[in-house]
Amino acid sequence: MIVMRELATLGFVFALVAISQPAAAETAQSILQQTDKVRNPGAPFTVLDTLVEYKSGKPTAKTVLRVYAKLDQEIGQYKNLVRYVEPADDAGKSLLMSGNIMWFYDPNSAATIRISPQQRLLGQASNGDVLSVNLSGDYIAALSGEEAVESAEHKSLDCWRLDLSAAKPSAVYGRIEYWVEKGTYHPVKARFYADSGRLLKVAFYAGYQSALGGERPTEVFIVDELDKSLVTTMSFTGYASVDIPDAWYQRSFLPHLPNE
Amino acid sequence: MRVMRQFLYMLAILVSATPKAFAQEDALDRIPTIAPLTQEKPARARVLSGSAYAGNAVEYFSTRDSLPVNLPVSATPDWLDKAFLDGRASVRINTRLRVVVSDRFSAIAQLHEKLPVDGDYRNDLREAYVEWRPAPSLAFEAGRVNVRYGVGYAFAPTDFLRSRAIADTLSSDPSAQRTDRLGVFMLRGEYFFSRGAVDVLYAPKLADPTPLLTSASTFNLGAGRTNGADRVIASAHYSIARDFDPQFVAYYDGNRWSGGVSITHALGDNITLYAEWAGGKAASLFSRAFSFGVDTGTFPDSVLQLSVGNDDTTFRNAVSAGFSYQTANKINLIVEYNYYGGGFSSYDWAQWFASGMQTNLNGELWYVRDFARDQTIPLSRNRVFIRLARDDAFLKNITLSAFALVNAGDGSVVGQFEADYKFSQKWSATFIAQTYTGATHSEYGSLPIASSAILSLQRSF
Repeated sequence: MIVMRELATLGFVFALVAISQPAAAETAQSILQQTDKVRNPGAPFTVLDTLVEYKSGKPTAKTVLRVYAKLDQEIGQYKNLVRYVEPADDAGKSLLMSGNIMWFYDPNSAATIRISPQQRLLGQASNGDVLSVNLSGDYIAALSGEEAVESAEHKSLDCWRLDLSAAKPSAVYGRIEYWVEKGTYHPVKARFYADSGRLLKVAFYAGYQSALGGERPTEVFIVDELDKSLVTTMSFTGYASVDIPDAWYQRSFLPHLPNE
Repeated sequence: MRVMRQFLYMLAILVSATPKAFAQEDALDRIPTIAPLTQEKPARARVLSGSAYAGNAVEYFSTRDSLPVNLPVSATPDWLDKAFLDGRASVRINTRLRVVVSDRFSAIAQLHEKLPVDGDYRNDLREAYVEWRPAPSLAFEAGRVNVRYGVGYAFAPTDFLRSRAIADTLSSDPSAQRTDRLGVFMLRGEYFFSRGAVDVLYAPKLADPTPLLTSASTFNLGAGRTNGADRVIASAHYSIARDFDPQFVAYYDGNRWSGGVSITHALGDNITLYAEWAGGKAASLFSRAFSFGVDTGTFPDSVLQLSVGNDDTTFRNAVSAGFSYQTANKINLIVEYNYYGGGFSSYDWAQWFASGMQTNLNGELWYVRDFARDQTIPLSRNRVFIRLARDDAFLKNITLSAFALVNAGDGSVVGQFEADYKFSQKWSATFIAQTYTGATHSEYGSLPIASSAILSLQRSF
């Protein structure tokens, strides 16, 4: 029943978007889908994600994560496996996220514990930022304008401005303002809001390079809006297409997750 | 007129653009100047990974002046100092083979009025095993492995390998008890498929069971604790539907079979529900403790007459059920109910206190409690566990946590407050305070220790 209601709501919103943008060559949702393809290679892949936290401009912590992402055809969303590589204290810890199902493994206690979806949001660069997510699967997009935006590399880029509203419980944020470069569909900037409407963080996508058949951002700068002295940089290296067995996406495999 | 129109046009642009422009530049300006956006080559999988830390902890105990059942020997020190070295390493031989070693060494000094008057040390080889993955969906392990089944936080009935596994630890938080426990020597095979996994392990008897309260001054591997009997476990979990993935565990310890099942389920974004049950034929805690004492040479056979009947073996259940609630501001609440069918009932407790006051069996009576602690099983049948924790509490890198373990029968409580502060990448400090409160004739009110405090400083490498 809830699913039916969600589908009806989705259909209604899609219809509204279509009616309100009759002249648009592309709908906001199709733009969002194109940007998803820029951020996420279609085939199963692995990437090394290096996060550096800055406090008042000085680096305070570095975390290196190995991410394995694969599209779950059942829910149309990516399922992710994350293994901590650095720091040494956290090496071997692993995380599984498939929809709203999250498990965390700690080699020190040999315990795999269930954690709540809320924990996607914790940390400056939350799990929701680290994991591969198809935004078009979780949000309804509306085109709210076109404007020039200054990128992280201090270039002025012509962008579409999209307003994304959470459409599913799996959506990490309540609302996102999203600037996408016209023509390339490169995400340039995003503002992430909590369900309460409070601005949580601003992200800038940069360092576009060719990887796995497309131009992909290899740097993301996350500026914290709750504690304005905090900034996190995320660097993606070593994109590689790999065959990831479905059998890996379950809690009991977490202790065996490789780093390669 | 033209000038006016241009002025209005400029004004409109400023009104519409200025706030956004400032907002954008504000966020951009806060990005620190870092090295050019050069791409590092992907780090190769390391051959050696792991962590190590060393530290020192000072513990103070406040003891009760009188006890309803006196200890056989008064041995509680006022002060204790522990120096420890803890490490875990994983050595990757190739893509299919790795070796894991985890160890903790503690040097303990009991501090009375002069420092130190007594010394002790212990080494806990928690894990030492080889993992072989001949295929992507297949894994084998051989050696001492810490395998934990179940989902309960304070008590996991299907965690059948918890017995006699406690290693040296500072905190009484169940999460710390899990971290610092011994693995079991075993051979284990796991097969993973798209919706679940099965695993079978065999833990052979490698030594006769060692008595309780054996001196800790040893580099002994402790096989008499973890491998005192032949044991077999078979486990499977299968995702029947989305977010319905029960895990079944069957356990054989050389005498009888036990079994259990555990399940978790998300309720919205914030709440995780969990429940676990295990059951099997077993004797009461009294009988098991006295049988163990006789088997390990601590007591003569005649002590078995003390237990209620010579054989009170019957089918007994154990249950753990609760929920975890996580807020956006990093507060986590766990509430859990534990039932252990083999534990003390109110009648058993009354008998325990009455026997202690009327007989000279203090040693035997306290032995039952030591046995329960050694087996990591609840001493009483019904209890409630509540834990509240907050990461980055008030300051970044400070974690505060507190728990209360309540005996639901007599209302006595063991409570702990813990503060962990990681004040640099390498250094951290921990403060722990514990209290044992309740009526004189209650589980926690009858303990010799009324409260304790620990201050610890650690450095990681």
